[in-house]
Amino acid sequence: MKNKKKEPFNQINILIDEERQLASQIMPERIIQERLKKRLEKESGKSSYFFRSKAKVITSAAGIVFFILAGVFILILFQKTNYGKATVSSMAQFFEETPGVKNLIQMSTERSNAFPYEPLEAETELKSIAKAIQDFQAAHPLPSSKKSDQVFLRNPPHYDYSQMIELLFREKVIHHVMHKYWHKEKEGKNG
Amino acid sequence: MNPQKQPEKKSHTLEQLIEHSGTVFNICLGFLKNPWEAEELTQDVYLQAMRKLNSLKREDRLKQWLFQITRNTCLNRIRKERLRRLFLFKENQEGSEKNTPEWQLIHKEQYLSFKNAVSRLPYKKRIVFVFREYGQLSYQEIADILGLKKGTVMSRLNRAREAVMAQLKEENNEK
Repeated sequence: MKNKKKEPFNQINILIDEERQLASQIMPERIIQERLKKRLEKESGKSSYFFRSKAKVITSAAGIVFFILAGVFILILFQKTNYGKATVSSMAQFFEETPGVKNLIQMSTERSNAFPYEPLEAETELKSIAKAIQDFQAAHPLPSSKKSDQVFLRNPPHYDYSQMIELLFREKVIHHVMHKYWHKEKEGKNG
Repeated sequence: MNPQKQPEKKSHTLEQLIEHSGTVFNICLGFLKNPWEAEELTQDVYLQAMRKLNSLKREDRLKQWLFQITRNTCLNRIRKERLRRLFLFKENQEGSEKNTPEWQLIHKEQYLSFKNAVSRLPYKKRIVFVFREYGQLSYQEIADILGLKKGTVMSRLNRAREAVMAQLKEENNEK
């Protein structure tokens, strides 16, 4: 009975035996072991090499990063230096090429040599200008609407008379200086 | 343990493991049905073992441990192969096998039917079948490797054999 039950599985055993035998002919155990040992030796060597190569890569990567950073730093420095040079040179070029600037510089130098600091009596003039502006404002009042108040949280810039006065004052001073200079020049030329 | 002795011990353990390379090869052959692929997979198994050697806790279970790695590696390969076939829409790659005169002998109709029958077995039955029929491991060894009872191994093996036989008969009747 037992043999009868096992009999059908004999076919399986026969097939498997045949397969195994053929496989062992193609790939004998000796060859399998030899190749396996070679591969394991190679791989175990590789594992130590792996860490060494990693270390090399890390070192070289750090080197590359260092060189890149150094390059960027040098580039920034170079650009800064160049920028300064360029600014100076462009300014110099501007002064050289712009007509009249040289004269102006010369004039200014000469003026400062010829006329040491003199307090200008511009206060009265300034007051008169300020009064003129106030009169003008009184004569031409700006329309004051609620809307404009809402729009402008603070007074618009044309209400800043003090700034206007300051500008006018500066203009006046320059005018005064130039006038004096030209007057002197004229006198010098005439004799 | 003296750390200097560790590499020596490791190589000694590897030597012990290599003694079972024939069994590992046969198990791989049972799963892949191709001696060249089986050899390649055997090398993969041993590489895995070499890498995981430090995690081996019980040296008395070295053999079981090796066959556990074999089982996992084989199943991974089969799963990968199935996925590859699924996505590449490829049938069994008969053409890629090396057709040496010896191996051509095995490409008989009966063998091909048997090959199909084994590959159609569910994983649980297939593992037991391959371990027993190809690896020629004892029931107890298989039970230890798979963490099963000996009786379970026996019943699974019997069912696997029956399934293979049924498949063979079915294919023979069809022809």
